[in-house]
Amino acid sequence: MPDIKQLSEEVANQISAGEVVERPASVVKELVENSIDAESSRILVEIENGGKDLIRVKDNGIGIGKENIEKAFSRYATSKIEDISDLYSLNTLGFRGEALASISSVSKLTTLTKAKDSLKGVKIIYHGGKKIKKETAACPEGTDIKVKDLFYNTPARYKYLKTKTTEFGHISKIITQESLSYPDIKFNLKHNNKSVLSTPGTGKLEDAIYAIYGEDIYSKLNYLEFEDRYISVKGYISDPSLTRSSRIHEMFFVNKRSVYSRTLSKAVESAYKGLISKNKYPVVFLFVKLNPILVDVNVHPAKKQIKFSRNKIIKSVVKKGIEEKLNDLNPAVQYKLKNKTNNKSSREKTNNENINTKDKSNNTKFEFSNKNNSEKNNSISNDNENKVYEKNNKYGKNNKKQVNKNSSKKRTNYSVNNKSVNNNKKAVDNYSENFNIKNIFGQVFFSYILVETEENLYIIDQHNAHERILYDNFYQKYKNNNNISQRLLTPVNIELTPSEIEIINNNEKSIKNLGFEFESFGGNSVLIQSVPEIISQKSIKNELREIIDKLINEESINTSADLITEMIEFMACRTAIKADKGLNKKEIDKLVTDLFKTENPFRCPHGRPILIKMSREDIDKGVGR
Amino acid sequence: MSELTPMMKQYKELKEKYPDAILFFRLGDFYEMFFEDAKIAARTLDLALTSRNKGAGEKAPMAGIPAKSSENYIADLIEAGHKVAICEQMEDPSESSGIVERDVIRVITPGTVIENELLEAKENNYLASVIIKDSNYGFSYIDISTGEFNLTEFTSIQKIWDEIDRIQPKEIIIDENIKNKDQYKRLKKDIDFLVNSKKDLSHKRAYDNLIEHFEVNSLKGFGCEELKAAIMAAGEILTFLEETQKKILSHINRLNTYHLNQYMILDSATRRNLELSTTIRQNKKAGSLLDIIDETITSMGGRLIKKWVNQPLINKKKIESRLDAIEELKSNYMILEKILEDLDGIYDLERILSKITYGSANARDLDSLRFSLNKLPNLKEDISKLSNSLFQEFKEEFDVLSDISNLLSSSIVEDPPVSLSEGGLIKKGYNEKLDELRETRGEGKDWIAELQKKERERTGISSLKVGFNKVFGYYIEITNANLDKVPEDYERKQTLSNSERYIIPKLKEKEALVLGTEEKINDLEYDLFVDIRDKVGKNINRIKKTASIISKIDVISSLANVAVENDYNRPKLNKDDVINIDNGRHPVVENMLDDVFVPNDSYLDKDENRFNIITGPNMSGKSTYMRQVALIVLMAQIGSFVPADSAEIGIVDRIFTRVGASDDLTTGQSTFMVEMNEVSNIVNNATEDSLIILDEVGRGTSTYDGVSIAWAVSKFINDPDRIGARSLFATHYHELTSLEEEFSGIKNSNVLVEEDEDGVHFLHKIVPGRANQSYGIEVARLAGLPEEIIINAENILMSLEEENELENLQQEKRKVKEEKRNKQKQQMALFNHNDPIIEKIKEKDVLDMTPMEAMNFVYNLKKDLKGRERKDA
Repeated sequence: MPDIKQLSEEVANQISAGEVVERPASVVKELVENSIDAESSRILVEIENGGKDLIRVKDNGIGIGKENIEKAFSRYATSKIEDISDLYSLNTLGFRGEALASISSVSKLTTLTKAKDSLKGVKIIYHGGKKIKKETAACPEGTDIKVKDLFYNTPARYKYLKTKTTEFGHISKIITQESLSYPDIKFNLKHNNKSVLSTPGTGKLEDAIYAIYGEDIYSKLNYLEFEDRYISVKGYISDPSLTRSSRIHEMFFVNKRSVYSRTLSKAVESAYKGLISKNKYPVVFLFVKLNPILVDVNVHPAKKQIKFSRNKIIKSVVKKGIEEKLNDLNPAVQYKLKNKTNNKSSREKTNNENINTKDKSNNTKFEFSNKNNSEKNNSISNDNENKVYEKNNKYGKNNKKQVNKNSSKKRTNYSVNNKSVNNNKKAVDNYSENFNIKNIFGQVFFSYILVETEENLYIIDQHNAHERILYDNFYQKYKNNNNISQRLLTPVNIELTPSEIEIINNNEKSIKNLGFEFESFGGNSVLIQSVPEIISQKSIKNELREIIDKLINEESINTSADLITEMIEFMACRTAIKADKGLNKKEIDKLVTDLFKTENPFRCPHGRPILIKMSREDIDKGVGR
Repeated sequence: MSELTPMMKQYKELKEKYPDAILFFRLGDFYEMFFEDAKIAARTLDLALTSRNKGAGEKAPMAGIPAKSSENYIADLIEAGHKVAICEQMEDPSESSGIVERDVIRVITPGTVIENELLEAKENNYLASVIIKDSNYGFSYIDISTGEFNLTEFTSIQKIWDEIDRIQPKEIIIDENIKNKDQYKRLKKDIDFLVNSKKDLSHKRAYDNLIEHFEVNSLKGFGCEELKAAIMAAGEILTFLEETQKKILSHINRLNTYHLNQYMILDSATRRNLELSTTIRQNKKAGSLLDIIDETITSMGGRLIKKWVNQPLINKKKIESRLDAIEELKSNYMILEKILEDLDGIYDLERILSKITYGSANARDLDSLRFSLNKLPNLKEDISKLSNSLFQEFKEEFDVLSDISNLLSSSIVEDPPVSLSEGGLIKKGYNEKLDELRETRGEGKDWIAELQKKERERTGISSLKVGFNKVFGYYIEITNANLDKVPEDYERKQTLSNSERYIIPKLKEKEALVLGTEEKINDLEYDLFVDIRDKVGKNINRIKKTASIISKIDVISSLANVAVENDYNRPKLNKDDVINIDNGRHPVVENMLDDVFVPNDSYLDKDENRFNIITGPNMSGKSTYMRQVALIVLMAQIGSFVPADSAEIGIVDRIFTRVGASDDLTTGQSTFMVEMNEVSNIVNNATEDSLIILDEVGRGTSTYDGVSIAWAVSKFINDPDRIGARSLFATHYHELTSLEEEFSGIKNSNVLVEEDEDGVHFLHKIVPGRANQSYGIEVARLAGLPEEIIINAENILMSLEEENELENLQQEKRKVKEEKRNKQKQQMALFNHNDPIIEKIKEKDVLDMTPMEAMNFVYNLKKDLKGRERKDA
C-alpha cells in the first residue's frame, strides 16, 4: 500500500478550486465581490473570448498593501471574518478566503494594486499558484486583477467550458446582478473590447435598471415596497403584459447578495399565476432584507444558493406582497370588492386585511409599517391560517424580540404555514385549470357574459374572449393547412405610396407565402388577385388596405412567421364579435366553452384581460358577511 | 475662331467668364466638358476622354457625365481642389429655334458647398476672408451650409493665423498684400485651402453691399459699424457669393461680431500641442480631446462642441451656468438618457434650411425636417424637468415649431420618393383637388379591376385576367387554351408564350382617363410641394433659433454623459488664482492606456507656488502631467466637468505651451529657432493670468547655452514684475532646480522613481523636491539598446559622478552668483569665442570618430572644463 502523503498546497488549492472556480463567471463573481467589499465606486470588467483568454477586474477601492498582498493569495486568508460565528452575521460578500488562492492556482494571474495613501503600488504574478514575480509598480488607487488562460493547467476542466457566448452569458448575468445590488457603484462590462453593459452608479436602483434594460422594460415595471414581520421587501415587478420565456429576468437579492432561490421564484410565479400564460415568466427585481441569522449562505461554495430558515413564511409573505401590488395595478383582472372608505384611501388594501380587521380606524395603520406592533405581539402562535396573514403586517422588520419569539414557537408556526400554503396551491390549480362550469347566466349590457363555476363568478368580455378563440383557431388552421390561398372574384386595386411599393417588393416572397397574389397595376397601385384563406370572407377593399398597412408598417418585420402572427392577430381582432352586440343562448354557450379550451383564457392576443373573477369569499366580504 | 460651331462658340464665351472653374456644360441629359477641363475631369474622375467636332472638321477633347448623377462627380472635383461652374439650358429645347440659351447658374467651390454628400456632418465648411485696412486686419468667415456668418478685427497678423488655424476654412479670399507674408506659406502648408486673391478693395462698396443684403440702415445693430477692416472682409465674402451662387441667400440673415477677448486665447501652437481637436502626428480627430468629450448626437451639436473646445470661456458666470446644467443632468440619469434619446434622429436642421433657401430641398429633406420637428415636444418636455437656469432659458425660448410640423405632417407622405416629378409626395386630405383627381384615377382602376369579373361572365373564360404593363398599358389576358372563346371586339395587343393580351374600346377609354389623370396629379403634387417648401422657407429665423437651442442641449448632454462615463467631477472656479487639482488625470491618455493611469495632484498659485520646475527621467510622465494640468484648466473653462477627484481652477486668460519642436523645413527654421520663436511669443504676450507650459527650453543648442537661456526665461516668467504667470516647466537641466532657493514662487517637483532589488520603477507620481538622477540609461535599456552599450554607459556615468559630485555643487553656486551679478545682461556668455575648448571641438571631425572615441573626447573636454572652473573658483 502506497504511503499516504500530505498534498502540497498547490495541489490542494487546485482541487478546492474546483468548487469555487467552476467557470469564468465564478472568477468574475469572486473578483467583483472582492472589489465591492473594497469600497470601490467604479468596477471595470473586461472579458476576452468568454473569459477563456482574459478576465480583468479593475476597481478603485482601498487596494491591498504590499505587505499584505501575499497573504491575500494564501488559502483561508480573508479580511472579512475572524471566527466561525462571524459567518452568521456576514455583511461582506466574500468570506471564505479561498477565492484568490483558488483562482491563482488554475490560471496565470497578475495583480496590480495600490493601497490608499501609499505612493507606490505592487505588482504580483502567479502562474498556476506559483509566485513568479513581485515588484513595485506605478498604479492608481485600487486593485487591477488580470486572470489569463484560465484552467491552462487543468485541461480536464478546460474541456468542460462551453462556447464563449455561453460563458460570457454567465458573466453578463453576474454583472447584471451585481450592478442591480449596488446601484451606487458604476459597473462597466466589456467583451472583446466592446462595452456591453454600463451603469451610471448614481445610487438609484431605477437608474441601474434603466441603464441595463432600457425604456421598454423599465416603463413596464412597478415599484413595490412592503414589510411583513421580520421581512422587508422592495423592488420592481413587471406588468403582466411584460413576460419572458425563461426565469432569467427573475432576480432576487437577499441582504444585497444576489441569490438563486426556489422559494422566492415559486412565490413570485404563484402570485402571477393566471395573469400570464403558462411557460412565461415575469420580470422581477426583488430585494429582500431579513436578519442574516435566518439565511444560510454557506450552502454552496459558489455562494449562489441560499437556504432560508423560514422558507414558508417567507414564501407566503412575498407572494402576498406581490399579489397586492398586482391587484393595485390591474384591479380588473382579479377583481376584489372594496368597501367605500378604503376605496378612497391612497393605497388600495386587499380584502384579506379589510375583512379581518375589526374596526376601520385600524385599517389605515396597516401600511406595511412596523409602528403598531405593540398590541398583538403574541397572537402569532395560536392563530388560524387566515390570521397569520392578517397579522403579518404588524411585525416590524428589526424587532429582535419578535424574531426570538418566532423561533421559540417554531413548531406551531410551521404547521400553520403548511396549511396556508396547501390551501394556496389548491386555489392556484383551480384558477388555471378547472373551469367547471355550473351555470351560464347569459349576457349583460350586450357586452359581457356571466358564468358561475364551482368557486367563482366570472364576468367575461365577449369581444376579447372571441378574439382569443379566433386567434387560436386561425393559428391552428394556419398550422394545419399551411396557408391556402383563395382567389378573389373581383380583384382589388389598392393604391400605395412609393415607399410602400418598395417594402412590398422587397418582401414579395414572404407576402406571397402568406397566400397573397398581386401584381403592379400602373402608377403606385397593385392589383390583388388572391388572399390567404383566413381573410377571404372579408375581401372588401378597406379591410385589405388595413392588413397591407399592418404588414408593411413595421419595418422590422422580416420573417414570414412574424408577418403571419401579425396578420392572424389582426384578423382575429377584426372579425371578433364587437361589444354592444346581442348574442343568443347558443352563441353564448359556445363562446364560453370555447374560451375555456383556449391556451390562455385570461388575456387576449394583445394582452388585454378577458375575464374578471369574483370568488364567493370576495362577495361575502363585499357585503360584510 | 470664326469657324467654330454655334454651340462651341457659346461654350467658349461662357468659359471665358469662368477661367478658373471646370465648366459643366449641359447638353440634354449630360454635362459635357471640353478642352483642358475635359482632360482634368477625365483624369480626376476616371472618365473616357472623347472628342467632339468643334467646327471646320477639327475635334475638341470632351468628357461627359450624366446630369442625374452629377453630385458625386462634383464632390470628387471639389475634393481635388477644383471649382465647378454649372451651366444649364435656360429654355426648353423643344420650344426654342436655333441654339438653346445657356448660362451658368452656380459656381461650386470648396467653400460654398451645400450638398450633404460633399460635407462632413460634424464639421463646419468655412469660407474665410482676410483684409488689411490701414494697420488693422479684418477677418470674416461664413458657412453657407448653415448660414453662420462672423466677423472681427485684429491689430496683429498673428491672430489671423491663429483664427484661420482654429476654424480650418476650406477656402480663403485673401488680400494680395497678405499673401506675401512668411507665415502665410507656413499656414498654407498646414491647412489645405483654396485661395482667391483680391485687389481693389473699397470700404464703401463693402458697407453698402452688407446693408443691402441684410436690409438694414446701418451695421450698428450687428455691433460692427466701426470695424472697417472687418466690414471689408465680410463684404468680400458677400461679393464672392453673389458671383458664384447667383442667388439671394436669405438664410444668411445675421452677422455676428465677435471679439477674441471674450474667450481664452489659444494660439495655434498651443491648440496643436494640446491636441484639442486633432492630433499632432496624424492630424486626425481620434486621439484628440474633442474625440473624448464629443458624444454629441446631432451634427449641429457636433459642430458646436468643436467650437466650444477651441474657444474656452473666461467669464465665470457663463462657465458656471454650463456647469450647473451638466451637474443637474449628471445627477438625473434618466432625464439625461431620455434627452439623448430625444436628440437621436434629429436631422441637421441648419443644412436642411440652406437647401430650402437654395430651392434644392426635396421631399425627403422635408420628411427629415418633419421627423425632427416631431421629436421637439418630447425634448422640450424632458428639459423642462430640469431647474438649472440654462435649461430654463432654453425652455423659455424653445419654439417647437408645431405649426410647421403640422403643415408637414398633414401634407408630405412618410418616406417620400426622391423624385419630385413622379407624384406620391402629398398626403390624402391636404388638397381637395388632388384628392378628387386621385379618386378619379382610383375609380378608373377599380372599374378595370371589376371588368375582370364582367368579362369572365361574358366570355365564360374563368381564367381571364386584367393586368397592367408599363409598355402596353392595361390589358385583358387570355390563356392559349381559351383563345377560341375570345369575342369579336377584342383587339390583340401582345402575344406571350402561354397567353394573348387584348384590349377593348371601353378599356382603352378608361386607360386614357387613368393615365391622363396621373399626369395631372404629378404636376399638381409638384406645385403643392414647392408651395409647402416656400412656406417653410418663410420661417428660417424661427427654425434657426430652435436649431441653435438643440445644438446647445446636445453639447451639454454630451458633456454630462461623458462626465458620467469617465468619472469626471465638477471643477470649482475661483478668482483667487489658485489651481488646485486632486488626483487629476489626462483625459486622452487615461483612455488610451490599456494599463493604468496614475492620477496626480497639482497646485499652482500666484504666490509661493507660481513656477513649478519638474525634473525626472524621460518616460516618467512629465509631459503628460503638464498637458494634463493644461487640459483640466481648459476643460473647466469650456464648462465641462474634469478628470479629477476635485479641482479648483483660478480662471486663466491664455494658455501657452512650448512643447517639443521639430525642424520647419519649409521656412528653413531650425528646431532651436522654432523653439525660440515660441518662447519669444510667450514672454512677449503672457500676462500674470496666463498658464504657461514649458516642456524643455533650450534643448536645441549646447548645454550651457540651453541652461542659461532656460534659467533666464524661468526667472523672467516667474518675476511678478515681469510676467508672474502660473507655469509648469519640465526640464533635464538639474541645474535649474537651484532656482527654488534663489527666487520665491519657484518650487521643485519630481517624478517618483523607486529603485529596489528588482531594478528601477517609474511610479509616474509627481512629488515635491528635485530629482537626483535622470535614469537616461534605464530608458535606453527600455528602448532596447544592446546590453554592451548600456553597461559601458553605466561605467562611464559612475566615474563621471564620482569625480564631479563636489564640483557640480560648486559650479551651480557659482553660476547663481554670476547670474545675480549680470542682472542687466540678457544672455550669459559662458565661453569666449577663442576659447581653447571651442577650438578643440572645431578641430575634430565627428564622422571620423568611433563612438568610444567620441565618448572619451567628451569626457576629456569635460575634465578640462572642470579644471578651469576649479582655477576660477
